[in-house]
Amino acid sequence: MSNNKLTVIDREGSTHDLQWEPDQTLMEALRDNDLPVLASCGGTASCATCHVFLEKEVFDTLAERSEDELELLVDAEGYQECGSRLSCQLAFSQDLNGVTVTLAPEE
Amino acid sequence: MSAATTELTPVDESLSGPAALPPYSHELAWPDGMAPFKVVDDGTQGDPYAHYAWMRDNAPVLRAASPVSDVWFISRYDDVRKAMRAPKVFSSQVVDPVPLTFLTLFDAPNHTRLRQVVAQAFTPKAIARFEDRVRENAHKYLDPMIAAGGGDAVDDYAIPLSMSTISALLDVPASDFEKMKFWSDETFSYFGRLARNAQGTGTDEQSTFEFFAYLKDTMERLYREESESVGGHIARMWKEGLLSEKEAKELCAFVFVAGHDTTTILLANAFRVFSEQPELLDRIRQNPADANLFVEELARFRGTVQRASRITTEDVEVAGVRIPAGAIVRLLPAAANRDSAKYPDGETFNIDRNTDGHLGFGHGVHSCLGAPLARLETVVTVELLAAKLGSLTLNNDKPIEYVRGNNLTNSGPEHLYVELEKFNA
Ligand code: HEM
Ligand code: HEM
Ligand code: FES
Repeated sequence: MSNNKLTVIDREGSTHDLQWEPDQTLMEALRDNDLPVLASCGGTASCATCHVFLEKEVFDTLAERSEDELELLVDAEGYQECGSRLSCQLAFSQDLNGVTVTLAPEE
Repeated sequence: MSAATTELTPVDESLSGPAALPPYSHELAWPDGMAPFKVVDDGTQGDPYAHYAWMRDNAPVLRAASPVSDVWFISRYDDVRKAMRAPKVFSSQVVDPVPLTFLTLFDAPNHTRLRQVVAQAFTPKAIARFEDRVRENAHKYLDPMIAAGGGDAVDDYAIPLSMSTISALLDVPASDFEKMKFWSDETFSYFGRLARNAQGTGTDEQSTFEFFAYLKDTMERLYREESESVGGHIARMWKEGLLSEKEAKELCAFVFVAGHDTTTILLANAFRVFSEQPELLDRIRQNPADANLFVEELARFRGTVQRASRITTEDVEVAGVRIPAGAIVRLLPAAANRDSAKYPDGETFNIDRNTDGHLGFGHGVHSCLGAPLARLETVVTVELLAAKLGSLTLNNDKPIEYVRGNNLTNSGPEHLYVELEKFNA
């Protein structure tokens, strides 16, 4: 499988183009490319520090958020009902090639 | 919204007036021969798992008296997990103002800012760079022990390995080792006094200041040398004005202390489990990849951190018991990890079980920062023990001595004497 391309808008509004490798979750792709994604809990859907926004068209194609994920997101800074995801809960998929991801504000 | 099932139950004031407090631990009918669970261990809780089992069944929210305040212990898996996911209700800022720059003592937003400083150095990618070094050191400490037919798994192996690894991470010379170990123990005691009302050693304040002075000199050097280590990174943040001198020194100290005792005990526990299930030596020798299963199950079954301190910011009901706002709470991840409601037959070590969701490295925003490093050290150790040993037994003449005293956080062996026999193919 080849890498996905990924565009990231950071908290200052700057844009970064990254490679998203097939063995990475979205959180890992962000963190391992040195974006300021804290991922305190290491990807166990328990800290919400990997919160990102997706475009609605992309968001709508994804499977439902788990109860654990939603529980954290609804309390997270800037929560968007049709856009917020924990990036650690998004596995690599070729359908996500070329998407744009915006880092959510930090608490 | 479907989140309701996992939410904490807020207390409905209108129905319940001031709720009755549950009895104290020392007022409960503990089984014969089991001393009531205490806030400060007096030697009856060195291996606390029998207490935990009784608590999960009979007092899942246990109130214990201490000279300073009541302390509430929470032991069931679902309850501990929920609390760790709710930092706004179960706050980590148990001392206000926070006396030392230790991550475990902060809530967001300060927690987030400070954790960001060190987080990059601890990602799995960053830690992988240390693998060769850890492996080399592990051989270095294990081989003489095997040649001698055994020794103390703590003093001869676990301490040297964890100290040399954390020293490498901070980039302090291995020759300063003894000094660092002493300081780190003393700093632990000083912190316990400030943050947890522990007793202290009498010399801990003086030693802590010496430690900080040493760390300042070290950071000056790392800055000059443009060191790529965690220490170097913290030094640059300080020189660039992102951290104060106080914060920078204390963060270094914290990383050091946090990584030393915890890992030492986990490594010693790996020896212990091999002595209890010797067939695992063969299995892992033949399938080294199973070392990963061993280590996750070890963190579940004999994890190091027994308690996580929190303070409630509002009244909250847990397992049918109402805990008042401002209560000092100790979450017991090590008790939760053996809850058979989550892990069937939870009191048994079984490397083939599904360990997903265990709390051995915490859960939530305060999850262990050092977990990738601790896992690396322990996996390497488990692989090497299996590769090199035909047998590992406890020394019958010298029983396990448990950590106790000031250090209630981490439970496990202070000395663990083993007899080792080389594997002959
Ligand atoms: C290389 C060694 C280690 C380092 C550097 C390290 C570092 C840390 C740090 C900095 C924190 C605080 C995180 C925060 O508050 O944001 C933490 C938390 C924690 N660590 Fe580690 N640690 C190490 C090894 C271990 C080991 C071996 C265990 C147990 C098996 C462990 C269990 C925990 C737990 C349970 C917490 C959560 C405490 C809480 O929720 O209040 N750590 N660790
Ligand atoms: C891995 C990082 C750490 C974790 C997970 C951790 C967590 C805890 C927890 C869970 C407790 C036990 C409950 C309590 O008494 O509050 C505690 C207490 C304590 N901690 Fe830490 N801590 C860490 C790092 C440190 C550091 C850096 C120091 C000292 C420099 C320290 C010194 C102490 C002491 C002395 C106690 C006193 C226990 C008592 O007698 O009540 N810990 N810590
Ligand atoms: S990394 Fe913690 S929720 Fe995603």
